[in-house]
Formats: sequence, structure tokens, C-alpha cells
Amino acid sequence: CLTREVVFSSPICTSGSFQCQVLLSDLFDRAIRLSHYIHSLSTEMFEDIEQQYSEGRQLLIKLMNNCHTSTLNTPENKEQTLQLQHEDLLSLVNKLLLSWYQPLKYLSMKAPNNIVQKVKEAEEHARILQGGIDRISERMLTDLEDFYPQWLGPVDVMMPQGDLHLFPVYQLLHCFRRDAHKIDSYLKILRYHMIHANS
Amino acid sequence: QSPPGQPTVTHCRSYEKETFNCWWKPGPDGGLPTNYTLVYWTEKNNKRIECPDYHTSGPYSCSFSKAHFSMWILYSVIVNASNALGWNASYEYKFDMLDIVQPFPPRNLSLSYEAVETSMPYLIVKWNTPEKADVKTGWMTLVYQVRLREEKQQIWEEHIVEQQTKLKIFSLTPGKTYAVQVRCNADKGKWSEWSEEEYFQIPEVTKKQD
Repeated sequence: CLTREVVFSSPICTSGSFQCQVLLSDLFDRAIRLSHYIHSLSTEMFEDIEQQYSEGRQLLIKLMNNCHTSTLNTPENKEQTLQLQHEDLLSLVNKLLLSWYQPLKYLSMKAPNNIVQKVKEAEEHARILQGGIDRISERMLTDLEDFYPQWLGPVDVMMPQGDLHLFPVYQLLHCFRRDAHKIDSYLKILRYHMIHANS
Repeated sequence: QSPPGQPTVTHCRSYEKETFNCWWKPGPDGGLPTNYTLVYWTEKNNKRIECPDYHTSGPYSCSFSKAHFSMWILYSVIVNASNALGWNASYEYKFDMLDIVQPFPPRNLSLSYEAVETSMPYLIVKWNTPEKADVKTGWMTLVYQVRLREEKQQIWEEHIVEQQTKLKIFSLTPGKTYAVQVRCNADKGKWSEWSEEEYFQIPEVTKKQD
């Protein structure tokens, strides 16, 4: 499977020499292939848990506004996303990615067996994507802040007996799908700004 | 005569991840003129907001412009029916915007045939992106599905096409006529309706002069 060294590495040569510079457009293309795939995984995982767990339970009501990343002030539609400064958009992508390391670790231990493999795949690809974001930020001369929303552990929700253990998994997978889609959307708009809008 | 029956919100749909629409089914009208109002709120803003446009999407519908659209938020919608004798409200219809994205079908499906010396003959299927879909900035990433069948057969042969708007299909039977359709989806969401069917007859193989 893809490892960080393979996806974002460049040929052996003296650092900074022009020939060896991976094109910024290639860095974006690789990052977006990853973010697109991570979003696909997140959608499949949420559909899996929905079929297994939420049938007829009206769970959407309990999901109201409790993703651990909802404290981040993120653009919510196309106009807002297009208007945001490039550095701010990249910084948001970075924060969203960082904020999911712990929860994905939790999911890799607590999610049902048929979902765990996809969680681990998402973890691996998120790690590789993080490397890509670091390289893109270097090229864009953007300093990425270290602050990101911390996950404070699984939520406590009063649920009918016997359902308690899966609700935190359901809620996390709902939020992961949402944030994976944000990461993918923001990177695509950023690529458009950096690559196409300037050419 | 009686108060109106309970209306039902049937579905909501966003065609291009920038606006959205909702539709409802009225209940019995109680034999009196009935007035409908739709309100919505979101997980981030509990304030009830009334439908801005009851007309553009036809009867018993509401069209929400960009100002009302947020991509990553849970929405709740309720429809209220009222007449001179009373009123009745629908159940709360709750949805995640991610789940109601369903593009228009692709447009301008066209078929042509290529038979050159150097390669196997093939059918070229081309189409345009759906109406209002912004693929240029990357806000929408579309995946397509093309299906094809012999005119008098029932079984379709399906092809998934990632993001391009063109497909080459090989190994078709000379002389046969084929029906072709295409549809699309955005970000692993709902498939659009199928496009109109287009037909193409594969040319007979002509014997070379010796």
C-alpha cells in the first residue's frame, strides 16, 4: 500500500535544485487523490454503520451539532470557500486532519469488525495526506498552526438499553464523513485557486 | 368541512451543492381553501425561517437560494397546513445536506463510430456535464455511469467513468443497433436520473477488394 515516502517523495538530487522540484500541481493532484479516497471510505463506513445500527432509531436528532470539530469556523458553502484566503483554507485542512488522529485510533479499536479495516486504511491515507499538506504548505510559504480541536473521548448519550456502546462509533463516523468531505472540497477549491485560476 | 389533514414532507434535493429544494404532499384539504407554509431550522441556528420561494419548483414545493444553503449541516423542515377551521403540521423532516445531493442528468449524449486500420473499431460515447454543476473549481466532482444494450434486449452492460465525459466501447456486433444512456453522481451521493436514450447502428463489416 502507499507509504508517505512513495507518494510525496522526489528523485534523489541536491535539495532545492529546480529540476527536482515536484510541481505544486502534482502535489495537489496527489493530495486530492488521497482526500477523495478518504472521503469515499468515510462514506462507505457511515453507510455500513447506518445499516447496522441506526435503522428506525431517529438518530439524526442526537447528532445535532456535536462533532468535536464544530468549534472550527469553517466555510459552509461554495462562495465562502472561494472567498477564504488560501493560507487559511490550507490551515483549516491541516487542523481538520490533525483533529482526527485520536478518534480514528479509537474507532480502530471500537468499530464493528467489518468497518475496522476501512478505519485503518483511512488512518494510513490520512497520515500520508498529512505529509502532502506539509509539503504544500512549504511551497506556499504558509506556516501551519499547531492548534487543532481536541477530541475529548466518546460522547455520553442516554440511549435505550443495549445500544450504548455503538452510538459513539455512529456519531464519530457521521462527523468523519462530514470532515472528510470538507477536507476534499477545500483542497479542490485550493487547487483551483493555486493552479488554474493563476494560469 | 373540517380542518386540513396532515401534510407530509416527501423529499429534499440539492442539484449542485449550492441551493436546494423541498417538496411535500398535502393531506385532505377539509373542503376549504388551504394555505401552506414551510419553515426550516438547522443544527447551528434554531431560529425558524420561512420558505423564501414557494413557486419556482412547482406546486407544494420550496426553493432555497444560496443564502439558505450550508453544505455540512443538519436541516429540519416542517410544513404547516391551515384553513378557516384549523391547522395541521407535518412531522419534522430532518436531513444532512450531504445526503440530498443529486445532480441533474448529464446532457447532450452523442454517439459516433471509429473504424481505423490500426485498431479495433469502437463506439465513442460523449456527453456534457449536467446543468449548473461547477466541476471547474472542483466544488463538484462527478462520476458517471454509462449503460448500453442491444435494441431488442433487456440486459444492460454498464461502465463506470471517473470524471471524464467520454468513453470508448469496443467489441460491438456489426449490424446491430444499440441503446445508450448515461447518469452521474457527486461525491458518492445519489445517482441522477438517466439521460435520454440515444441509438446507434454499428456499420456492417465491408469486405476488402483483393
